[in-house]
Amino acid sequence: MSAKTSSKGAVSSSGYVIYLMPGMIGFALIVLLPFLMNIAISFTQWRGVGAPRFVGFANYERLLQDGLFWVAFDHSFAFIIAMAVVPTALGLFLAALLFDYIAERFGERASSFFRAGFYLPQILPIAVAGVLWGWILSPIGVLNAALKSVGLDFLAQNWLGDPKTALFSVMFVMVWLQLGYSLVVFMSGLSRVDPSLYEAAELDGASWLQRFRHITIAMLKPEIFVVGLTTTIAALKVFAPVYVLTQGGPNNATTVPSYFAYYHFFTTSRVGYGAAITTVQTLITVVLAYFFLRLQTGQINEAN
Amino acid sequence: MGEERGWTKVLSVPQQALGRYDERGIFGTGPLVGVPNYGEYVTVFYNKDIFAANNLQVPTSLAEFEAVMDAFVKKGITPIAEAANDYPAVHLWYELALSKSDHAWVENFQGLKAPLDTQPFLFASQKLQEWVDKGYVSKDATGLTASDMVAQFEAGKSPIVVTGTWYAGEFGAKIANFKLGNFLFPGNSIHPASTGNIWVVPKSAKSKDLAYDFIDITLGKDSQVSLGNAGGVALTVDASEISDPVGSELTRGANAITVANGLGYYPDWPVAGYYEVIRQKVQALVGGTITPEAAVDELTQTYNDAQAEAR
Repeated sequence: MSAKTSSKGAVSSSGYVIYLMPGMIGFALIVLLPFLMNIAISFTQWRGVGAPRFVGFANYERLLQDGLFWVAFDHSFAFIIAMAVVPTALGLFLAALLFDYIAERFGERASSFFRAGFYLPQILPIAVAGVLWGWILSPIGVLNAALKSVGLDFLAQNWLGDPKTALFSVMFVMVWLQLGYSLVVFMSGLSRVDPSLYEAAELDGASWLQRFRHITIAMLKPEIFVVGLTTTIAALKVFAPVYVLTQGGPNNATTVPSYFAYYHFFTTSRVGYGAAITTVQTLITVVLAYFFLRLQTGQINEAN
Repeated sequence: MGEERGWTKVLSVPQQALGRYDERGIFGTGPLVGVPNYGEYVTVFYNKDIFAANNLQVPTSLAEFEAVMDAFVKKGITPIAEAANDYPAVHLWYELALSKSDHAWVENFQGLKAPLDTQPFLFASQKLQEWVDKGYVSKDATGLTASDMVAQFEAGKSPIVVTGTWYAGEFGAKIANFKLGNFLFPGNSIHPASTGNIWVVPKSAKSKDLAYDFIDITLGKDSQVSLGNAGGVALTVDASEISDPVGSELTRGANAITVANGLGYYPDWPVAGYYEVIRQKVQALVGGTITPEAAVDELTQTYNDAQAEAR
């Protein structure tokens, strides 16, 4: 009997394989193969043309001593704050606000309008958004002109050109860019929450903040973890906004591992070294993602 | 083919340098593989009206140049429109470095020959920072790009811009409310300069003769004169043949540079990825967030690394 079931199971699961093939082939060609090639290249010295020369761990040794890589890596934490922590927290709050305050008071249309507005940066091509923010944040740009016109001259800054403000300016743009993603996920999550929970809590005299804490956050835990994980990974490999806004400058104040790898891969043509940077970066991302997933399973088990 | 068609006669030796490559792929010597038909160099464009209104003459030495800029600063005008979040500040910095160098230095530097004599870089870095402190260049430049810089000059906000001849065409077309002039960076005999892109006929080309004829045409008098009149830098005709005053002046400048063997090329050429390092350091120098000594140390480090790897 059991043998029969298992053989039946085998037949049905092998039946699925054919449907998984396209995805697996795509994964192998676009992710797995380049990933393995990248690891192989990281053990060589290669200019991108000619034959790669095997150099063992030389690139990794150099990486450990390269101060700039660690500067770039430090900036990754700033980007985790700007792309994962702040957008998740703010997105949660705004989603709750739109869902049970704006929608209740001003109707669904108003809340949809704001949701679309917050999501717009996600649709804009990053190059366009970068150029626009470049104009806004330029020393002779819109932001400084606005500040000066209302008499706040002392607040006007050389936002992207001064190392003291450049990282914060880029972080601000990242919050603007990422907020829509978490907001939309949280709003769809909220529509799944049973309204009777809120009604019951309200009858028991729970304040908005108490309901937000004990119902909204508790019920949205799976979404919070998904958003937290995906945005953290996005922060660890951020490239395009930095490339468009500051190119890692001024004086490396905003450089990140991906930009650093790009720089060596394409401009100094130290392809092997660039590959080593990327491999270490992948390793760090995988380790962090692993802990994040462990934490998530722990929390969900606890909740159950 | 160069000799057969007379190109090696029409073009002077320095004008051929970027068309010749040796077996290591380094320019300057070896067979002629390509032919340029225009030149480019970094020069000083200025607003003749503002100079005249302040009774200022075109400076002929670095000291005179500084005196002119002092006069502007006293009037509350930032003399040089600059962009340090982009390539222009790199050109100004290299122009300053070349003021302390000679042809041998350029050859060693561009040829990646050890050890790098860093004196010109140190002088340029100190001078640039001094110019920012004195108000010749605004610190805001660290957040500006080339197009911002050009817009400030075109709007008459700053009377001077130190940039490439490639902007002459745009300046000629866009500037209507003041008279544009240009002069070579005062005191320098060597300038950031090169002959532009080269024409190359591929080995597998089907109609080589047509391609050679085409190159003949681009080097011919008619083409060169109209190039100059459009604000370009002509190579094979005399400046007097060009009627456009700016184009004529630019072509005269180019002749002066080639006659003096003053092609300094560009500072990022010897090392792959050097442009990025120089841009970052020059931006920090303008912003005052790095000392000239530290900037030169980092530039030397990158240069020496590249040299060690090239061996």
